[in-house]
Amino acid sequence: MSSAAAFCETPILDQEWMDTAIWPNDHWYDFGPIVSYPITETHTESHSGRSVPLLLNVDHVFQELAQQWEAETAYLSSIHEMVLNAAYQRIIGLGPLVLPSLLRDLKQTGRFWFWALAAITGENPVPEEELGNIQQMTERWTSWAREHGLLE
Amino acid sequence: MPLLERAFPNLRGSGYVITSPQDKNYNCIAWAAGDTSRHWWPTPFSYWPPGVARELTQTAFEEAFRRLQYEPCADGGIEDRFEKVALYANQSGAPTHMARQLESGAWTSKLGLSEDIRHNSVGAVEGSIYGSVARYFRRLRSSAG
Repeated sequence: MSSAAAFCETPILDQEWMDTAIWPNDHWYDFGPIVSYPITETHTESHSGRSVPLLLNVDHVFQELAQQWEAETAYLSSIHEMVLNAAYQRIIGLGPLVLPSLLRDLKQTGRFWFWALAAITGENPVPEEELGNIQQMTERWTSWAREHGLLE
Repeated sequence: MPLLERAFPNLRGSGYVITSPQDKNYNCIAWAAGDTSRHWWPTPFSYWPPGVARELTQTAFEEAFRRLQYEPCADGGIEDRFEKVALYANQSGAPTHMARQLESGAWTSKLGLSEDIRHNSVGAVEGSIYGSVARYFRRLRSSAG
């Protein structure tokens, strides 16, 4: 197993990882309504000397939760029930670090991440007349993400 | 057993047909309303008819379909010149799904963000996911003149 894969087995809230991770800024918990720091792949070193990509780990957790969410909500019609699903709530709980993963996945799959994006960022760049149109909403969020340095 | 029948046990042996591939671009309410371009749901991130309360109540759904000339009716039986939709709700009374009656008397449902199916009875998709039918609405078919 590669060191990155081994690291991915580590729970996201593992204390050792929390203590040794390099966070995007000194006050990572104080990001305000809009994430303004540039997201880049950051490497950190754990106590055991492994060099691990921080955002790869968040993306790995996101991918697993996204698959779980899709499997558990495949036939739900109620968007309320879809977003109250535990996996969806855990994705929201990952906070701003998950935004690049969310935005990439939205662009690639059109999965319903709009609620999560709004919950994490405090923003909703979609005008009233485009609500419900997945393609148009995705384009609005993609533009927003580029403006904020979250997507290339 | 097919995944669909595990999710909706009443479909088993009922003669349902999958009528579309999976499509994330519209949901069951949009499908019942005849709109395949967007999601309908009373959240801040979906389409909902202007002026109708964005709340998860049967009244809000009734109001939304009144905008499409639907009015409440007693049941899902076939009536000449009318097309009907059924509103499903969970045990708390919260709306969960809608299906639309075809001219044949069969029903068509968009299952979440998955496939559309044609099912012979309105009860075929009742169960733990959608609960049961709470209300029916009808309007004159456009071909009824």
